[in-house]
Amino acid sequence: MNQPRGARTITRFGRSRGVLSVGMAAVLLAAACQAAGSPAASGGDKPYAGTTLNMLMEDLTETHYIADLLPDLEAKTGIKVVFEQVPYSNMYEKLVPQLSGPEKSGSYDVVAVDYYWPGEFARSGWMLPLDDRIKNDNTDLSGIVPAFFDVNGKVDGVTYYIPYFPYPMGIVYRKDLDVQIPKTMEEFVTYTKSLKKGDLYGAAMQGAPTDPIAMEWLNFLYANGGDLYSADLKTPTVNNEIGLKALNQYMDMIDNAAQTGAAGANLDDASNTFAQGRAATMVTYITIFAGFFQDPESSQIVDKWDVAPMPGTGVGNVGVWSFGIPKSSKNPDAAWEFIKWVSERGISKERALKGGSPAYTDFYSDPEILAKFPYLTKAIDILKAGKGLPLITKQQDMVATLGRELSEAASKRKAPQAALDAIAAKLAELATQ
Amino acid sequence: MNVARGRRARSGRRGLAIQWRLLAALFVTLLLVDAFPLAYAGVASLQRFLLSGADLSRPFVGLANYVDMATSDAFANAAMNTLVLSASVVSLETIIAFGLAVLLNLPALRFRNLYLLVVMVPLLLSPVAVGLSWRLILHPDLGILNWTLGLIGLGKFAWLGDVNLAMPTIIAVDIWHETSALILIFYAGLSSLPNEPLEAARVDGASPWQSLRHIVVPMMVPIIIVAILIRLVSAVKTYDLIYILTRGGPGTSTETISYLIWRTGLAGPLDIGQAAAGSIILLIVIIGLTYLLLRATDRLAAT
Repeated sequence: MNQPRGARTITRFGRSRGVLSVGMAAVLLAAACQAAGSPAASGGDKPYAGTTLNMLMEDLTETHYIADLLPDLEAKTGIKVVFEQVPYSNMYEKLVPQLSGPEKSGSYDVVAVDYYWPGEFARSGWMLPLDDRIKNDNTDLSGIVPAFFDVNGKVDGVTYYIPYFPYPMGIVYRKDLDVQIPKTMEEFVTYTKSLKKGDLYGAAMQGAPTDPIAMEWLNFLYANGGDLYSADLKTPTVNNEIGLKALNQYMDMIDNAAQTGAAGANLDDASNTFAQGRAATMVTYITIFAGFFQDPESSQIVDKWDVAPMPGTGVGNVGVWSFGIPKSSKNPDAAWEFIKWVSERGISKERALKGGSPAYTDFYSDPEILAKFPYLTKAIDILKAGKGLPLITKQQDMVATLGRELSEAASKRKAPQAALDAIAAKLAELATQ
Repeated sequence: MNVARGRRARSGRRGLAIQWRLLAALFVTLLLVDAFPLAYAGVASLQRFLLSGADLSRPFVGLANYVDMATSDAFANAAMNTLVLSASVVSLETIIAFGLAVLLNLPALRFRNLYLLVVMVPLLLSPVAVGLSWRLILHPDLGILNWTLGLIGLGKFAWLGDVNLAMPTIIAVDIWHETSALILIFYAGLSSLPNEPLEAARVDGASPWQSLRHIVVPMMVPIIIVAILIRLVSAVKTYDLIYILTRGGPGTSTETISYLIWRTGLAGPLDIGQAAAGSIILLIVIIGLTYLLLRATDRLAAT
C-alpha cells in the first residue's frame, strides 16, 4: 500500500517492456535505494547523496552564514541540510521533547547546543559520545580554543559537542561620543548614570525575564569578582556580599542609566535602542552584533562603536554554541560529516570572513579577518578572560531561576537580598541533581 | 397492525444500530483526543516525572505534586494574577461588547456591514501576531503609542516594563483582541430577539433606554451568560499573550497559572509531574466555574 513512488514505477515498466525494462528497473531501484539514504548503495565520491539532515537553529547571523555555505557541503558529500530557524526562546522547548524520545525517533539529526544545556542533555543520556568518531577520523580540532570544550564540549570527561561559535559578553560603546569605559564597576555605574541626558541613555539594558536579565547580570557578578557557586560546585555563593553589590549596581543602572522600560526589555529591544543611537553603552554579546550594528539599513551607528571588556575584574560571561548528535538522530553518520565540515578550519574561516564569531584562536590575529573586523583583536582578550556557566546538570533551570528572581528584584517586588537568597536556595537544590 | 409494528420495530432497531455506530465513532474519537491525554496527565500528576536528569525513573508519589504545586508561592501569585486578569477582561469585554452590539443593532445605522467587518479584524488575528504587533506599538522609545502621547506633552511610559502598568496593559491588549467575539455573539442574539415586546413597549410610551433595560437585557440574559462562560474559560487559560508580551514579568507580576504550568513542565525544571498536577487543578477550577454559571442559567430560566 505504502510503496515508495520509485518502486511503483519499476513494476509498471517491468510489465510492459520486457528485458529492457528489467535493466531500467535495476537503475531505478538503485535510485530508490539512494533516495532512501543508504550511503553504501551509492558509493562514489558523494557517499551521502540523497541524505537530508534536519536541524533546529537559532535565527541569527551565524546561522545565516552557515546556511550560505551549505551548497559546499552538498557538493562534497551529497548531504542536504534543512535549517528550521526559530527565535532563541523557542529552541529549548522544541528540542527537549525531541531529544527525550526513543532512539532514532527524533526530527533533528544534529542539534545546536547552547552553553547552558550540555550537562543536562549529556547526563540525561540524550547525546552520542563523539570521542571514537574524532579518533577514527583523525579529526583535527587542535586550533579551537581549548577552554570552549570545558564550557560546551566535554561533560564528565567525554566529548559530546564540538564548539563552533563563541559569544563573549563585554561592553559595546559609542566611540564617536568619546565614551571612556572606567576601570571599576562602581565608576562604570556612576559614569553611565552621568551619560543619561536628553534623548541619550547611559546604557541600553535588557531586564526582562528570564534569559535576558540572567545573561546580563552575570557580567556584573563576574566583573565584581563573584560567582554562582564555590569552585567545587557544591555551595552557592551568589547571595554573598559580592552578589548583593552586583545586584545593587545592576538595579541602580536599570533605574538611573538605562532606557525607559529597561526592566521589561529583551535583547532585541536593547539592541535596537543601541543601534538607533539612543544609548552610549550596552553590555552585550560583542561578536554577535557586529553585522547588525554595521548594517546601514538597521543601524545609525555604523563605524561609531567599539568594544571593551567589563570593568573591575575584566571577566565577562562567555557563551559557546556547539554541535552534537542526539541519540534520537536518524542519520548519525551524516550528522558527524556535517559537524566535521562546519568545524574544519577552511569553512570556519569563511564564516569568520562573513562576520562570524571564530572558534579558532589564530583567527583573532589573522590579517585577512582583522582587515574586515578589527574589533576582534579586543574580542580575543575578552574571550580569554571570560567565564562560562557552572557545569551542573540542570543549567536551564538555574538560568530560569536566576532570571525570574533577578527580575523580581529589578522590578522591586522583592528585596535584593531576598531574591539572591531564593536563587541560592534553588542552586543548592540543583547542585545535588 | 402487527405487520406495521414489526416494520417499525425493525426500522427502529436498524436506526438504533446506525445511531450506535455513529456514536461509537464519536466516542472513540473523544476517547483518543480527550480521555487518553487527560488520563495520561492524571497518572503523570501522581508520579515523580522529570524529563531530564540522571534518574529518569517515574515512581508514584501520591498527591505530593498537587501539594507542592498548590502550596507554592509561585502558584498563589499565578492564581491571583489569573483571577485579576480573568475578572477584568471578562467584565470589561462583556460591557464594551454589549454596548457596541446594541449600537450595531440600531435600525437606522448606516454602513453596518463595514462596521462589522472592522469589528471582526482582531478576531481573525492569532494571539501571537497580536502580541508581536502590540509589543512594537508599546515599545517605550520606538513605539507609536508613546510617540503619540509625546505629541500632547505626556512622558514616556514603560507599558510592559513597569510592574504597575504591565498587567493593565495586558488587560487592554486582551480587550482589543477578544471583544470582537463577544460583539458578534451579542449582535447575533440581539438580531434574533422577537420584535413584538419592543413594539408593545414603544406603543406604551417606553423610552429606548427603558426598553433596553427592562426588555432587551432580560431577554438577552441566557446569551450573555453563555458568552461569559465561553470567554471566562478561555481567559482563565491565558498563556499566549503573556508569553509574547512579558514572559510573566516584570518579575512574576503577570505570570498566570497556564504560564506557570508551561514553565514548570517545559522551560526550566522539566517537571512534568508537577506541571500535570497544575493542569488538573486548573481543569477542576474551570469545571467548577462552568457548573456555577450553568446553574445560574438554570435558575434564571426557572424565574
